[in-house]
Amino acid sequence: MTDWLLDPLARPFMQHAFVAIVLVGAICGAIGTFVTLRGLAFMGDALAHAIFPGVVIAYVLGGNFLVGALIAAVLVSLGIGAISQNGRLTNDTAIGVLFAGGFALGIALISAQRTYTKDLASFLLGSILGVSRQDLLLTGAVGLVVLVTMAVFRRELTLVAFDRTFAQASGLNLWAFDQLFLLLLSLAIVVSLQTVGNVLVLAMLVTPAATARLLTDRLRVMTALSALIGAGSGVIGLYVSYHAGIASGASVVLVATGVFGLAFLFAPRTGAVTSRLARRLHFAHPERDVFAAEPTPGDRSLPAG
Amino acid sequence: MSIVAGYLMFGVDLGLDYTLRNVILGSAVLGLVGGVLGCFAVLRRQSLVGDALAHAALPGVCLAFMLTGAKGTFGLMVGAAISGWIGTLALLAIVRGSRIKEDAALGVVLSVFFGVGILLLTRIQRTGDAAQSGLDRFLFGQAATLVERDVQLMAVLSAVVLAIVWLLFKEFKLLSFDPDFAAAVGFAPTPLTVLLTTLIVVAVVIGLQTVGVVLMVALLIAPASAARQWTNRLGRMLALAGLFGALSGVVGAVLSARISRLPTGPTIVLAATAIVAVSVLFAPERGVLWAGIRQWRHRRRLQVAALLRDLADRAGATGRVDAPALAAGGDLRALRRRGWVGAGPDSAWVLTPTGETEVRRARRQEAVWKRYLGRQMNLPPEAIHHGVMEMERVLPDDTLRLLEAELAREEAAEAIPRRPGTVVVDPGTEAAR
Repeated sequence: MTDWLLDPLARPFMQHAFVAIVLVGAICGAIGTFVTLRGLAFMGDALAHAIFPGVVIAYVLGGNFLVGALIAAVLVSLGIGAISQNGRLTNDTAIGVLFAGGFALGIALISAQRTYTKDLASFLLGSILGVSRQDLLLTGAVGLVVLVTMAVFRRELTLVAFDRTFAQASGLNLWAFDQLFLLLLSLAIVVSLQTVGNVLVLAMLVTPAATARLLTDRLRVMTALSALIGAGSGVIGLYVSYHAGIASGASVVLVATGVFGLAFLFAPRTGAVTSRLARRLHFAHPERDVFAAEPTPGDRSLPAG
Repeated sequence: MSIVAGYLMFGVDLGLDYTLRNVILGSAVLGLVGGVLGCFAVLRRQSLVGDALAHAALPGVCLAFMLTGAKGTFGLMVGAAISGWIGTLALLAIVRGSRIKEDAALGVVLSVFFGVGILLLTRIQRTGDAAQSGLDRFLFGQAATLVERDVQLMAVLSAVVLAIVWLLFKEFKLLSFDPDFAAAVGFAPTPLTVLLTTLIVVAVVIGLQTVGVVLMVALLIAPASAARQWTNRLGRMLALAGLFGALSGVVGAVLSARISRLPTGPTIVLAATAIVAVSVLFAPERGVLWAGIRQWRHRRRLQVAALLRDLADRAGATGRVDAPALAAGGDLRALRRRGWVGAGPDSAWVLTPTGETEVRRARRQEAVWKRYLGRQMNLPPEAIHHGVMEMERVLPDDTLRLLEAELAREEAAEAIPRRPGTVVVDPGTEAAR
């Protein structure tokens, strides 16, 4: 057992991978709270796909892929805003069109390169085992920026997310804070690309947050839990990937989904199994008030998410 | 029918080679079906569902590949359909059984199925011979592997899908626009929804070889959103979307065949995206371009009208304005073009008779409008500006008549000119000016 745990830690590339996945899991988990509660899962997926051409162009030109990705992300989020202004298309359609188009452009660009399949695979699936020390520093720095910004503007971001009318009435610039949020989201996605890859970033954003949502009604607790679950599933997923020899991105996502499944079934109060059990207990022993913990509909509880 | 026609047109007459003909036909069929079905997805705001279903097909494809080991298409299609279906059921279970929102549930389903698919893919790639047909083929399609039998299968499937849509058009229409009413009049929404989702799974299956699972969503959403720009009628939207889809299929297939190293699937998607871009920009009414032009024209009309009124105020009874008083050169030209002002003696400008009429019309409007705002809307007099001139477009006719009658009763008719048609300009006074 100790070998199982310690063996991977002895290898430098695995050390890097562990640090990277903890960072990515925590960043995505934290910002994923807002993504899930605001119903922006599709937006996250779209950003992850649509920044792909930016990454490819930066890669072809030999520039920094982070810069290319960020430029693309800003363009895409502005573009989505512009298209959904046009009354006939809903937001999700605008997102869908832009994301598929951008992604197709990226693939078309990269397939013109010589080492097509290998590059494409590493972009899509991530190459966590190839994370360098420099990459780690970059990920850490970006992650710090994201988390600190989230902490500083916690009040504003929360207000803008959950009570837009009140936010506007109290003088907040909705557009600016929406853009700030999208920028943070893009940053989180960009640093995750290398680790878990293009397609599975979505899982890192949505799954830990959805799991946390099943376990709590408090935003702060949910954010912390979500970050913890993200980082934890990352670490366990890497162990599984190392010992079972399967793709790291996929195994991280599967572990995260496994945790979600457990919460879905057994979460206190809301779990599919637990709630049924509680109901049965209640009818069998009405004197034991098993519903006492049920939250009163009130100030602190979150909307469905 | 159209399939046969397609064969004749593209295959025989153009003398295309076997592979290209298959690719073109396959892409066209896919675009047609994707476009038609996509309309319902777009109208029901379920664009992400198509994406999730497409991704959910991957593990089924991989499993079928591992089990049969063959490159035969049929097994892969069955595998894709089965796992797409399981994905749908998982989605329904999560949405119904928890407080997770639909989009987050879709995200969870999409990523777990895709994760399993990737896992299986890495297994397949490790087995050797399938390496090159692995990632590329299933994720992004590999249209060049289409054989005639595949295209026939796709054609049959799409004929079935289109027939079902044709037969259940009314039901699907109700479901898309008013599901509650549909339920109330006795259509069962759940079976219909499941049927529609199943049809989308079939479309994904059709697109498996051509565009692959990752980009399939584009062929569902893009043609439908482009078609939405051009029409407000569902029937036309379906037809247009089918047309756009087929067109992007053909264009994408031909382009990728002509230009080396351009993969078919992404090229088809880019063609579809281009059609969306053109539609969003240029479609009548909604197009960004026309909307911009309309807005500019409107603003211009208001500017010119304001200038004319200022002019009339300055001119007073004489109808003469000195040229230097008019700083706005371009606007003045606009006034001349409309024939409202003309050059008078000694470098002065005078209002023409039509200009006078126009001024009267504007003043009348202003007065009625002010009265309406003051009375009906209870606005204090100081809050009423005379900026809004388009009263006749805003107010219903009877309200307008009522207000005018009231004004007339108050004998304000002298100060407030009546409708232009009723104004009689005395030629004598006109000449004296």
